[in-house]
Amino acid sequence: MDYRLKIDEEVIALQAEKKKDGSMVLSHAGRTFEIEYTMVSEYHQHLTIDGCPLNVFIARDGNTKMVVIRGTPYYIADADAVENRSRGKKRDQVMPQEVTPPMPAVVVRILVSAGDEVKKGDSVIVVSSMKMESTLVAPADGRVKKINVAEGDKVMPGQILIDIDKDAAALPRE
Amino acid sequence: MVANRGEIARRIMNTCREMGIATVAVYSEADRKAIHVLKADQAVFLGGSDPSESYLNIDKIISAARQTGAEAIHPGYGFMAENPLFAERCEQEGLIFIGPPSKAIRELGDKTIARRTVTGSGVPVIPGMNKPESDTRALAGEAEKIGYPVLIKAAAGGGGKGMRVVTSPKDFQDACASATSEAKRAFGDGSIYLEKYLARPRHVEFQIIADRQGNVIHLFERECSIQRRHQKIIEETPSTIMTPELRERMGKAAVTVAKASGYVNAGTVEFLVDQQGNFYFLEVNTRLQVEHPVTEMITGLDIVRIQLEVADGNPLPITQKDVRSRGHSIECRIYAEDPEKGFYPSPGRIIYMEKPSGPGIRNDCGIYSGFQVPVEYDPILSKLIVYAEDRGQAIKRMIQALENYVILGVKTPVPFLIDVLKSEAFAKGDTYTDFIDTYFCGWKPDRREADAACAAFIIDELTRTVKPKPAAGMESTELSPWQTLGAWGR
Repeated sequence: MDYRLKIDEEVIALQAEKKKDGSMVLSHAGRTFEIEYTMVSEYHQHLTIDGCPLNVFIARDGNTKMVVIRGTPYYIADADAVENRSRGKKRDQVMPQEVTPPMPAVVVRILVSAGDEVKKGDSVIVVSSMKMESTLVAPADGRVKKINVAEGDKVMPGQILIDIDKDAAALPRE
Repeated sequence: MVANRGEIARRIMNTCREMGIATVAVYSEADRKAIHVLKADQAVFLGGSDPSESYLNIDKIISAARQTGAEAIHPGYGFMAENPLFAERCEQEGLIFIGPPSKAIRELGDKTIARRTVTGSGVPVIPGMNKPESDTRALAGEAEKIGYPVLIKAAAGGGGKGMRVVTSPKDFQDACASATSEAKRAFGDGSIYLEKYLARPRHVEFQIIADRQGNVIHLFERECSIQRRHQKIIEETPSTIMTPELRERMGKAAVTVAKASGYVNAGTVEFLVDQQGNFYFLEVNTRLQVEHPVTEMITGLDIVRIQLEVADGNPLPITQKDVRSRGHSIECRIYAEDPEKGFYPSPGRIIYMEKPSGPGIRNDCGIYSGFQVPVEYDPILSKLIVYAEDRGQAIKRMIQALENYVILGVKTPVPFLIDVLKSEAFAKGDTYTDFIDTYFCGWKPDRREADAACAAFIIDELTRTVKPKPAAGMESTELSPWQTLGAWGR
């Protein structure tokens, strides 16, 4: 079976073939690996790759899996699933234009009010996560349309904290 | 009663249990299932997740002690540990505060008063201001006098909160504002002052402990130079720069500082050591330190036990000459943070974990599989400590232990720590406070086992007969940053 996996921003193609004895042959970039495996638990695989034993730990989250080998994490996703999804939602293009926290956080201070004019890079809101404060900035020149949160609110990545109407003049020409 | 949470509350309760002392935990909304609640003989709910409604709320903590009949309160580190008002309140209420008297906390806690006290005792201090200042213009004047680069510090501070290095006057105003705000949030007091910023110092501290009879001893040094955001991540003892002669002088200075300030109970005297081997008093941390375990490993002493004995009015069980050190110990702090993105916090749920074990391995751990790491508190998850006969062996042991430490669900600095411990710079003991910026700027892990990781991904796909559904422990409505990638589009 063919796989296209996205690992560390890179997409790689692999072929996996399950054999009758329960082992697997994996081919990637002209190399072939003989892999035996034992599912120790839902989170733990014991692999023997070309005769070398290896403990691998894995947690799933939708189509991304966190795989940990000797303390190093790898984040792996099915490349096709990721591409389908971003085509549908165009999330990547929307995200940098919005005021949203990079991690789960609590709102500490709101530095602007509705109606304020802001310039790209102006500080608009301060959030705190695990005692570390981060200041979020206006993604573009514009006017604050609406503030969607209050001080003390718990906020998540992707949540739009402040709506900013971009200046028509500041919009990049198509 | 332990007025704290997580790993430190659990560690203190372990010693209490050994001593036959019953324990009371306190907790907030976010910590209903935290490890310290599960391990205590009794637990009292304080209130909301915001620290001001729980772990920083003096009235609620005192009333929890009253309600349960607790006789003494151990504050751990952070939260109430260095709040003189809390210690004073305990004194007034007839509760034993396991720490120094409120007067010593007040005088040493205000870093500027501490600087004045120590200046009088003849121990060298870093050039800088001896009182806090709120007027930015006056501060800017002081900065000019001291000379850039300067270090802005919170007068009430510790743990790197409210600390900023300023290299040029143009950044000074902004840095003051953000330092004040961070300090206010962390300590309830936004006062700041300035010190000369020393280039490439080492951070070396001495553990001290004093009884009410006036005896003070030190338990040698800890080298804590490897820091990110002015917060320590790797500590060890002995320090690689230490000679018996320097240890003797610095130990004496630490004891002098403790005596000058009327210190009782456990504390830490911090020094910066410059390139020439001169040492300067930095500050006294009037609490049990995060990194106290390395001292326990090499001395064989239980510092929390001595704290409890001294708080009960007993004299120190040992004298300076009884304190012996053997071997080498290293601690790595395991935070919920992303070492590839500037050590930004990474809260979330611990989906699965496996702790390392073996000779000379200690894990002071505040989490378990299934635990939701709250966003409201410090990101420390656990502390991994190793002990071995010498430094080389301790480093190898720590690398092994880290490689066998599995934490799935949040990002941790484990791969970063492994690379630091494997580095030549660390092996040489080239540990200055700019270590990470110098040797590990823009660090990324070497993902050399990507093929095996992909194999694991595929095996996981093949062996799952059911369609992917949220794994156990993922039902939470809260999203971790990597959960936001979303589920299969269906």
